[in-house]
Amino acid sequence: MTSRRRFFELASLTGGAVAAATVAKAALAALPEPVIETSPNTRPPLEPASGRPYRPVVTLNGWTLPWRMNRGIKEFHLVAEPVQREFAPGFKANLWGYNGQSPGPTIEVVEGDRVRIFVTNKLPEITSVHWHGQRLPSGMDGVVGLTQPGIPPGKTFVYEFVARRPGTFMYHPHADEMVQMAMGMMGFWVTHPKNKHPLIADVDRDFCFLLSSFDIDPGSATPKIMTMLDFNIWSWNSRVFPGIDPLVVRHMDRVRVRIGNLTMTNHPIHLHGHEFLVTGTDGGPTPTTTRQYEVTQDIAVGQMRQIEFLADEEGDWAFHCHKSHHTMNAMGHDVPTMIGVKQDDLAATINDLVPGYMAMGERGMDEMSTMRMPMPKNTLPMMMGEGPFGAVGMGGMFSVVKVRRGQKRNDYADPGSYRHPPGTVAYEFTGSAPTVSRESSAGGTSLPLQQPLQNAPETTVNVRKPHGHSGH
Amino acid sequence: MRSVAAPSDEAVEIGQLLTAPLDRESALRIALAQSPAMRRLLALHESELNSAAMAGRIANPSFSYERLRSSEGLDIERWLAFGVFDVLTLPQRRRVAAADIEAGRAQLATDVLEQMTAVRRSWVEAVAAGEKRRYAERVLASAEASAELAVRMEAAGNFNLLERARQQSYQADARSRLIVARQHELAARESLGRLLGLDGDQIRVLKLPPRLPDLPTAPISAPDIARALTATRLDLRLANAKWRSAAAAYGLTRVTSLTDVTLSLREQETRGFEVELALPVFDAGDLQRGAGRAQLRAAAAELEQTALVASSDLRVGYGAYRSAYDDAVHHRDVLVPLRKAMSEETLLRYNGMLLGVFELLSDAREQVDTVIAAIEASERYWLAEADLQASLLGRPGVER
Ligand SMILES: [Cu+2]
Repeated sequence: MTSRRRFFELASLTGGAVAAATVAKAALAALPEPVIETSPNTRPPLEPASGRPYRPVVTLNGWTLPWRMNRGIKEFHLVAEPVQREFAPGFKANLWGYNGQSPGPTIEVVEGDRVRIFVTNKLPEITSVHWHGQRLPSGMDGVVGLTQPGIPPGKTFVYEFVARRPGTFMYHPHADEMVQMAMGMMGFWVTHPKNKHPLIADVDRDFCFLLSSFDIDPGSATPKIMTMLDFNIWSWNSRVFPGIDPLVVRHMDRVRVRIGNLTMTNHPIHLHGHEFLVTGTDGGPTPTTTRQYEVTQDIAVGQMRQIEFLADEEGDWAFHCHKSHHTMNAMGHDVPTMIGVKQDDLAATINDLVPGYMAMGERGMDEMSTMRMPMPKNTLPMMMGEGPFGAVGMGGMFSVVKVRRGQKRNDYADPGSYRHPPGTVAYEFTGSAPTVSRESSAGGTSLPLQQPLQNAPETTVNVRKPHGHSGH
Repeated sequence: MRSVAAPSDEAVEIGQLLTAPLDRESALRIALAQSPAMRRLLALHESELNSAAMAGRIANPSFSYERLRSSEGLDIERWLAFGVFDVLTLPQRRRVAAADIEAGRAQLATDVLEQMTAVRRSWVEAVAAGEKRRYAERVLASAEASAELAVRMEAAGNFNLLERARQQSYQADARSRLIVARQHELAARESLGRLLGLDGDQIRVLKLPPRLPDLPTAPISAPDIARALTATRLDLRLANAKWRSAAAAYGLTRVTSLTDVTLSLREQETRGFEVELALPVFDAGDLQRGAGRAQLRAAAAELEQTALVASSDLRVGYGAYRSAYDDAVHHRDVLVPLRKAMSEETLLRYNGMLLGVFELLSDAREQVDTVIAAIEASERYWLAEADLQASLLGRPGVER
């Protein structure tokens, strides 16, 4: 035990890979060597080297944890530890996660697999892992105090159970849960079907990601753990646009996307250009009779959804949460609306008082996405991203499904911007308005027209958007 | 006196001094040349000054101030103190018993030194009042911009009455503060002008520097104080002169060699001072006549008492000076830079649309408040410095 503890202390000092080489073989034999990932890039799918074959998933800006087979048991090693996560270039956060990243690595197993997971706690407080949605012995459910003692700092616990049903799952702490999840501790779990399953289709591409939210004051790096609702970072796998990789697919691929929600609010996830079916929920695959085509699927707190579509429309298709403030990066909630308020003539006065001041917001906030003004360090602009036609002006939970005819099977490399066929891009109108032929027989006999149409008075309708504010 | 002092030159010089922003030196020079108290002193001694024999022996301030262009404040006052001291001790040096005249002269010296200190203080207050008034104008400008934007916001339907009124109330407060600041400035300028002997027109056009001088890189040190004190502390020298005069009157012919009072400063820890007084030792057997003996004892006691008061006065003065210096430096080096860093970060947050223009302007007002507090700390320093200079000169009989 002592040597094992020293191994982890050493590992924490020098990085896992280096330390592992210096550790006695006996220690390694007892425990699978922890695999640590330090890059936020999307890793290619991990083809199973042992056990039953399956088509692996792609974790958006993440990776799948390798395992070792030990007498028929799949052994994984999760290390709960403080990590640094890049949300997008220019913005890094101090989070807690697993094996070097937040979220932790995806665990992929096959229905019926006996799974043994070693969980080493390198956090400063106790932790545990709850295997969200799994059928397992009650004592393996990971609820501190209720089904197990907390894993003390520096200790390793073992969870072992059979992955009984195929589907989409998550894992997260059930110890000081609010804090540990606010710090980014979570991971994805996929149990592939053992045999051909009538409700589980074979797909060409299988993506997964977790919805997570953080409150990180611009200019700082650590989430405010006591925030309940007013989060300012809305992320997919602890990444925000433009840091989220695109979902690259081949034209006519059958695509599955698995999404789990570990934020404190719901997210209506919306796909452009295609209709999808919700083929799985928290409880497993949905009966085909319940499936209906959708373009938006709301995902409630703590829920998982898997959607499937046929990528039969080429192009760059936005894929995002439909809450518009969730496709923004950190923003001020109390910034007054300046639309229609002339400021230019006061700019000189204000500039005298505040050198460097620039009037903003008079014509809306789009200018925000093109202006490049100095901001607090380690902060992303509220609206950003460059597309082939200019500023995208997005942030947070936004990515792009790229459907390409030429994309090779198993190739997830970004093909670049879509090259639209001629005449298929919206263009500026420069001609004159076509004449409109008007129907003059309106009203019929029941409601006869009182006056000729050409003398009808013009009416103006002011549309006012409802205004209200509640939690997110 | 004016006839002696070539008044036309003097008037020209004063006129020139008033065309540029008036620094502290120039203020003291004008006060020396033009203040009624100074003229009164010199007029009272005109007969002596008019005597050719005296002219060579007494430094005449109005003759000499032109030669002091590049001197520092301390020097001009030290020089003045010597001048006054020369006048005060003239009777002793001429071996003329004139105790009654001497008392009147002591009062005059007090008036003059007090006035010099008042000029320094008043100049500091007037400059600071102008600086604070200008910053009050900046606060108002910020509040006016906020209020104007708020009115436009309400007109555009983006603000309600409550929010608009809140921004306007900042403007109203700022205007009220500016009114008070303007009155303070006016009063401070009048006060300075009075001390300089300026008339209403001159005060109106009086130009002052835009800000107080920078703080010295290091405070006046204790050894500096010791040197300055032994050279200038007027009350001690006056008491000493009285003692010598009493001794002379008593007939102690050898007293001159015996009665040099040792004025030295013993620095205690960092800020304490003790004036060490070595009273002359004399043979009690020499003291024959009772009345003269009592007078001599009284002079010795007065000298001793004066030394005690001088020690205490210096401790208080130097303590106040050092506190004011430390506080002013703290404002300059810590509080203002912190506030500036906050303002810079606030602007960055505004750039990122993390906060709005009203918060930006509110921050600008808060930053100005910090600057005003720093000006006030600097003002306290320069006032304490003037008081310390007064302590070094030993304003006889002046309560602080
Ligand atoms: Cu959302």
